[in-house]
Amino acid sequence: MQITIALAKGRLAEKAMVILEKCGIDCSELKRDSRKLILFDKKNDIRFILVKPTDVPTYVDHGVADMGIVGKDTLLEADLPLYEMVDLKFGKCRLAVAGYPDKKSGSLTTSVKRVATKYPEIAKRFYASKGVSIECIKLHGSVELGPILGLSDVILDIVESGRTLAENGLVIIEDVCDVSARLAVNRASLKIKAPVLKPLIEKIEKAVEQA
Amino acid sequence: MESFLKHVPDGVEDCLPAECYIKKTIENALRQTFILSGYDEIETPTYEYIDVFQSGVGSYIQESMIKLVDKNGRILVLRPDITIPIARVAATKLENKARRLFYIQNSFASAEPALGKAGEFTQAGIELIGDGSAFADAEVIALAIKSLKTAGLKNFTVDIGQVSFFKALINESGLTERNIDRLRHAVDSKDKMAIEALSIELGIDDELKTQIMALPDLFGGCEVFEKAASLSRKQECIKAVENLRQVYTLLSDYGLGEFITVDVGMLHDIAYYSGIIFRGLATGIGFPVVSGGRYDGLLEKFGKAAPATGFAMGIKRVMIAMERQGLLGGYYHTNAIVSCDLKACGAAYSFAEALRKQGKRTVFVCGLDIGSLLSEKERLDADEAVYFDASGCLQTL
Repeated sequence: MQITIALAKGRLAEKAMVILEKCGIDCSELKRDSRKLILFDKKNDIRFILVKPTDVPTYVDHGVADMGIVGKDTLLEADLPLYEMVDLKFGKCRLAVAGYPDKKSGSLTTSVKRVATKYPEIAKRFYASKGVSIECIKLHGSVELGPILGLSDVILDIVESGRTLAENGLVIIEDVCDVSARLAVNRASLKIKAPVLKPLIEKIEKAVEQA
Repeated sequence: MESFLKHVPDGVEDCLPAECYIKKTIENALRQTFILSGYDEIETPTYEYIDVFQSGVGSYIQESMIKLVDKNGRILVLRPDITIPIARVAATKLENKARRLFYIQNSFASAEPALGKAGEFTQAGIELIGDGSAFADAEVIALAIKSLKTAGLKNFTVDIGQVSFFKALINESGLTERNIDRLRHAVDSKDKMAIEALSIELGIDDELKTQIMALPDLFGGCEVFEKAASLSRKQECIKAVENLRQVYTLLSDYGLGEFITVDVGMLHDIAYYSGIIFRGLATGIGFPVVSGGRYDGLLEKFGKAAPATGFAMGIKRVMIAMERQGLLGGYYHTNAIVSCDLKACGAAYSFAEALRKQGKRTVFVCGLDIGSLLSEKERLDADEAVYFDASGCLQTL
């Protein structure tokens, strides 16, 4: 029974491979610098796809990938009904709201908070749960520019060391949640391919514990 | 301004003949299966008052429904679901006894279209009203399996859960409804990290936390029952496991054991469902092809309490799964094409009608010459072509 695993291109994939190799999966084809879109571990009958992080939940949701390894931030933004079975404990950081420490919302032309973010869905849900109305400004990178250029009041973004914020005079105003890499599994696959997936998930859990 | 003259709106689509043939073949086979199992067909209105779908049990969130406004300013919605209207009918218009009802109708949604569940999608389903027993649950699940087989699907499983188990576990926890729903969502997502975090945030005691943490792993085959039963001594929890075991045993007796998997941690929509719930899952599609369960609290909302259980099958999703399993095919078989010289239309028409009376699919086109007739025969893949010349003489080609 063949299974397909979606990995988020980049650092997360490299760290995921360390765990997968501990589970006896052959990642050599994945490590080779190649233009191939689909890679194999033929011995274990596993197919890998390397895709943009934000696409991992989509592939898993549709079941074209049975499982995927991706950050909690990406899963929260996608908000899809996946099984989120293992915290892989790498790629740790947090989602937080940041802005200028002493800037009050002094704008006369708007009564809503302007939030610049790569995560509009998370921002909308976070502020909705607090009963705060916001205007979301979707950016794809260098979100910190939002408050600096007056595009937004605050940003909602990933914070690792906090260096980018500090260098630009911004501070964390409130935490949203902790983030780490997760193993997401398609709901139909877990049941239909249980004989293969269940033991593999258990192995991954063990490998994480040992790491 | 861009013109939409040649477009259809997002979420809806045309069902072209090749697909329509297969869809209707499946629907007809399902209709026969439901009728033979003693179910009576019912139709409900395409649109209803929003109140039907928005008060208490089984409420739909307003942004998921397509709305209209009637001439009195009342809000109407295109039905997002067919079980709720049937519950309305059963509680208000049908006499109070066991009813077996089925439908093959379209439902509508304005939410982000999921695969095979766009703005408009066909559902085939049944409702068994007035019977609260495990036998009724087993009957409905057995018919769901039979329906998937009837449609022609292979490589599928029906995953069964029991929401009363979770409900009983948390009913004395003192948690607010919103926090119970957060916990439910974590369990349903098999997200133990979230359960752990919520337990700390909500101050859940260790015993309950251990029980809830066990739920995500309580899936598989019949071995799950023992594990679930040992988890809690609460009367309702034990009853829930017994109910699940009884339904499982019945289905095994019916020879359907191979199609059944169990998941005590399956907890979608617990406000609506009250007992056994289930989902049909198939190779080739990541989304459920069938969804169903027991909803004993729904009819009461419409003024007459009665136990009920049922399922809905997404025809398009079943077809997508079948296509990906290489099981989809078939088209009309044309027996004959009849044409004629324009002076012999009457004789040719009578001949075509005679063939049709014999049950032969016959295409009749006036005035083709023999060459065009032959190429039409080829295009339609018809068994035979018949030509009437000007003197009314018949020629089989």
